[in-house]
Amino acid sequence: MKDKRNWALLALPFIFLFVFYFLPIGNIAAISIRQFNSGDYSNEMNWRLTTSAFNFTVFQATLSTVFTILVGLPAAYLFGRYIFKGKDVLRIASTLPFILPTVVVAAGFNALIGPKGWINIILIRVLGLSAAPINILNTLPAILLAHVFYNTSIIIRVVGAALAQVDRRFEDAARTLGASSWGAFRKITLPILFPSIISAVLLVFLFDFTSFGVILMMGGPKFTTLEVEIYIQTMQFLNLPLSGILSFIQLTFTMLVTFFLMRIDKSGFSIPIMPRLQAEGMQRPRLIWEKVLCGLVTTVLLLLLVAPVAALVLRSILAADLNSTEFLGQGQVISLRNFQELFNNRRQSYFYVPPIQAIWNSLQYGFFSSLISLILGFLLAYGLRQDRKENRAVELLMMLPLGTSAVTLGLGFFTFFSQGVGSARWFPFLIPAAHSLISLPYVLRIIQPVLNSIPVNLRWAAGTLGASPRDIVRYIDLPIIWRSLMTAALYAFTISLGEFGATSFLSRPDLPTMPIAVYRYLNLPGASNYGQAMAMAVIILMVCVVSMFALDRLQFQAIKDSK
Amino acid sequence: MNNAVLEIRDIVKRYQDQVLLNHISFSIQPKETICLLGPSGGGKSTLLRIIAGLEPPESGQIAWNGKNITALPPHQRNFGLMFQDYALFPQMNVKENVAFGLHMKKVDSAKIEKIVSESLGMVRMAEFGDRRVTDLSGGEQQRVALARALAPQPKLLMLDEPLGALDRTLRDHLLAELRLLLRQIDIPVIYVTHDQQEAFTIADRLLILHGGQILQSGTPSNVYSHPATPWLAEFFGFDNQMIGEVISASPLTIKTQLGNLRCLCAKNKVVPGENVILVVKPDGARINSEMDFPNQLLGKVGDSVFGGDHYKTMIHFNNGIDFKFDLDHLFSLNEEVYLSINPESILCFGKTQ
Repeated sequence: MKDKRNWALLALPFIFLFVFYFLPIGNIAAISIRQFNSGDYSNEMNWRLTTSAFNFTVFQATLSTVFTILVGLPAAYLFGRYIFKGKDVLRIASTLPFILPTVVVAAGFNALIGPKGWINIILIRVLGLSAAPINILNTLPAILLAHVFYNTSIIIRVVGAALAQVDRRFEDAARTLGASSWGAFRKITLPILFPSIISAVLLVFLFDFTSFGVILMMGGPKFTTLEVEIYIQTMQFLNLPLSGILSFIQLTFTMLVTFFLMRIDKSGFSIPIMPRLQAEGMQRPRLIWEKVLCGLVTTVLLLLLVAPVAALVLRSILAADLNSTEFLGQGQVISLRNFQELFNNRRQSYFYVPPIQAIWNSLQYGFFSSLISLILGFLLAYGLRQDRKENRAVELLMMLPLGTSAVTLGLGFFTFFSQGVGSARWFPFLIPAAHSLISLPYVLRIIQPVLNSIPVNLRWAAGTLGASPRDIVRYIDLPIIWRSLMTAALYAFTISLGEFGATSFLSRPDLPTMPIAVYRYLNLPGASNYGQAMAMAVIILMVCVVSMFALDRLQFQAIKDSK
Repeated sequence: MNNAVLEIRDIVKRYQDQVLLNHISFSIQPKETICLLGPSGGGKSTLLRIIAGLEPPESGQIAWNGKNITALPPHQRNFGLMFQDYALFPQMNVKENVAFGLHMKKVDSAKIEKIVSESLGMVRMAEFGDRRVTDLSGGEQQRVALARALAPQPKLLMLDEPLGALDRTLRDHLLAELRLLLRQIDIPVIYVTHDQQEAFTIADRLLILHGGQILQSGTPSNVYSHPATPWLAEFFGFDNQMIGEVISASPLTIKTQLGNLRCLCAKNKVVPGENVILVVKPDGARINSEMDFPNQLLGKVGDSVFGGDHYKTMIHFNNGIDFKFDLDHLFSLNEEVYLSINPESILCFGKTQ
């Protein structure tokens, strides 16, 4: 009897996953296999495109990962070992990349180093130049910069947290046994940290490998990775067979990396490291090299993490105009003109809806996708609650979307659901489905541990006190997990709000989302469009920051609850 | 036995190919307090969960007043169960926890208020109603859990190691309290514990559960003085065991490595020539050098441990047999002593056990 209930709970998530994941992804596989068998693929053009996209993808991902490690490892060391001025600010700043959508980051870097960005404005004004002197945008360094921005935080979080957990007494013991301080770190701490370093690096590489928005918006037309090529081949040339094959390669590669990651995660994070108070192993920097490292890392992180965001916000409210000869402060007033413009529909054309429409669309998609993923996540968490062998398989199945890039997912939807006349009109309704598929693994990971941590005794006690199974859900489970449900919903909402990869395949020109609108404005010429891109990006930024603080509070409360 | 309220009939439960409960049957009289005593992992808690309806048995029946309730879900049984770690609901305060069962029964709120404060008063926790349960000490949590189990006026109260999570001193204190309280309420009680002291204090009747079976049942004093098997004797701390051979059935005389010993009676019918297991109770030895006492033995004093009103003294006999006895005096190491062993203190178990 219990078994039946179990499968009934899992039925809906299974159907959802089948229709919105396996059918679309299977369709991609079918397309590429068909294409491959027909021999059509042997034409040289396709091969060249594929190999060059693949090579560049690997190349930029490797390079980005190396730079991320160079910045991230010293920062992780500092975060894991020292208390220093500005650590709290940096801690908050380092959560920004986790929640900022690519379009916001792209807009931020654009506002900082772009042709209309602050650095160029200042240089032009100060040096009296006629053109922007720095043209870093649409070059490889711009891509690398954005990737380092995004992924340094991962290294800090994963490795820094692991380092803070390592019992300082291990090193102390090594010192008393004759090891130098470097020797103790290298021989004792480093080997303990090694698994977490590897898994952080793999994670960074995976993100760099599947990066889409950053390459599209910061690399310009010169650079195409697999992801970007899939997008171009689909949206510009409608060359679905080629997109299919590119997607297939991408999927195979990401699945492989994800698989490795999961294996390492399992063995790596289970090292018996005595949990101790976090502050216990921490110290203030005393030696000169410690102070230098501290100053250097703090400066780099502040520039890297805070500058683009600050530039974006300032750029959106200061109506700086390149063509004006005035310098900052002279006639440059803070104005909300860019934000006001969002409410106007200047072009009056069919495809150019007022920007406020994009905000409304995003909010709706966000609402529905967080609702869907919450329901599915809740059902899954309940269905998987009993400890059994099949659960592991089901969990792995549900985590599959994690190893699938958003663009591949978008393409899958695009090809699978476009069968039938006029079907493209319905694409926007698929957006919440795509978004909830992307957030489902996260939602599950938030809800499941909390639900599983409820001692079975509580339910038994409620049962013997007269509570029916439904009463138990209502009076015991829900009151305990509601905070994590809220957290999950907010998380899904935030993901949906910033999602760009899959949405770029599915959004209709007259029904854009906020990120799509930012992308579109950034690509259009004209100061007004630029300003509106900035303003729209700031709105997304604000929503993300608000939800970040809300998430932080919710999690804090949840931790307090569980004690 | 005809007026039993609860009947457990032939319950079987396996857990991963291991038989946890092997055809368990017993019944409870109204107002009777029975103790399920046995070592940890013996299936006692599982049995409670089956009675509560939280787990189905593989076969067998649970009957209440003659009516089969095996398939009745837990929330319709109105059996109170107090869990070992109390299982207080962390999101509710003390009052809300105690009120939960009444709330589920849809009792009106004025009445709930009254019963809750009565229940809390009964366990002397009246002042604690608005406290968070997470702020309570172990002993306080225990009382709240008891109040919560009793508040809905259950037809049966089950307690699963209710004092198991508490330290020794607190346990002794609460045990006395619990004994009084269980005498006051007039419903049958099933009390599960692995602690003999607890079981002896609480129980009207003791059921010893081991290896999925009820090995013995009876009043505490009866079970303690007449353990039914060598295993039970050892469980009660009677470690002095040896094998022997029956020489004569009447008077019962056993040939052992320590010579021929007289016993009062055997647990089951024995015949001459049969091999038996002898258990010598630690309080059955007297220092005595007069040769006309039965079961006179010469031993050498080993380690002595002060045990309050006696000394737990190791005696080395010939043939490498070491027994522990509770002696009134402290003897010096390696001193040779004559002991006489009371035939009543020798338990004799035949092969058919």
